[in-house]
Amino acid sequence: MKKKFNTIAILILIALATSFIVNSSLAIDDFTAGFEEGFKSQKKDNISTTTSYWLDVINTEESEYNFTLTSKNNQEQVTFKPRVILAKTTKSKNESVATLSTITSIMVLATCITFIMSIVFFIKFIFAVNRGIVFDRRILFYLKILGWSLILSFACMTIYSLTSYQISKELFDIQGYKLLMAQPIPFFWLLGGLTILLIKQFVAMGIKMKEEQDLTI
Amino acid sequence: MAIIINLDVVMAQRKISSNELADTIGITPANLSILKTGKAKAIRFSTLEAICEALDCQPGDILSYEKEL
Repeated sequence: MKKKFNTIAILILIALATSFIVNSSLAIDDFTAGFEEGFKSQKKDNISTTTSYWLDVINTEESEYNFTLTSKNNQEQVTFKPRVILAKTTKSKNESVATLSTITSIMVLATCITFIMSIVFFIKFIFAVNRGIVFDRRILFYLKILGWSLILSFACMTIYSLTSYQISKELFDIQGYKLLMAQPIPFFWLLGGLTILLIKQFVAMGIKMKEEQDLTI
Repeated sequence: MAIIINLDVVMAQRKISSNELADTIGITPANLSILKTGKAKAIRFSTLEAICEALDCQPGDILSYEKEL
């Protein structure tokens, strides 16, 4: 039974880590691009005047495929319409953009912290169960923190997605294209967090039954 | 709880200590203490039978009911 439990736990941990990496890929790209630019400009002893943004776009007009590339298959020239763009622009002096940028940075950091917390408490929960601590108040505490940290991660990523989208809308207006939200809202983190809180209530019922059983003389 | 445990009264009348009674009926002194202080949620018939045999009394001597207001 423990072997099955540990196997499923490892699979959940891998899925959790993968979903974090996939969902945060754009946020991490933004962060590293900004960090690299800042680092390079510091080396050159001048202040960077440009910032890069990932944009998710969709063509709105029935226009021609304007872009071409060479197919590796048969060296044929292939036309395409872009869907994801990395755009570089001069740093905006717009106050609202600066405020939104600060919010996105804080949300990226907050998401990392809450997600790391969820992984730590998940591992603590697995170790506790392996030590035979099943229907115990400590398990309730671990499940509570795990559930709420996943929900907080969802909230932070949602705010990040919305503020990034707002920044893109304020800075760019590409003719013939409509801007979409580059970072999807991770609803399954909310689902995961709520499911864990539900399991916590189930375990709490079990603890109450155990306590009543223990107090049966 | 509306069920009152009068075990300590009967024990005092029979002049038997908690440890002795716990040993006789086959439960731990801790569990006996839980029973005496009214913290127990339930009692098995086998335990009640053992207590009545050890103290030579009736279940009604140990348990009483007081309606909660």
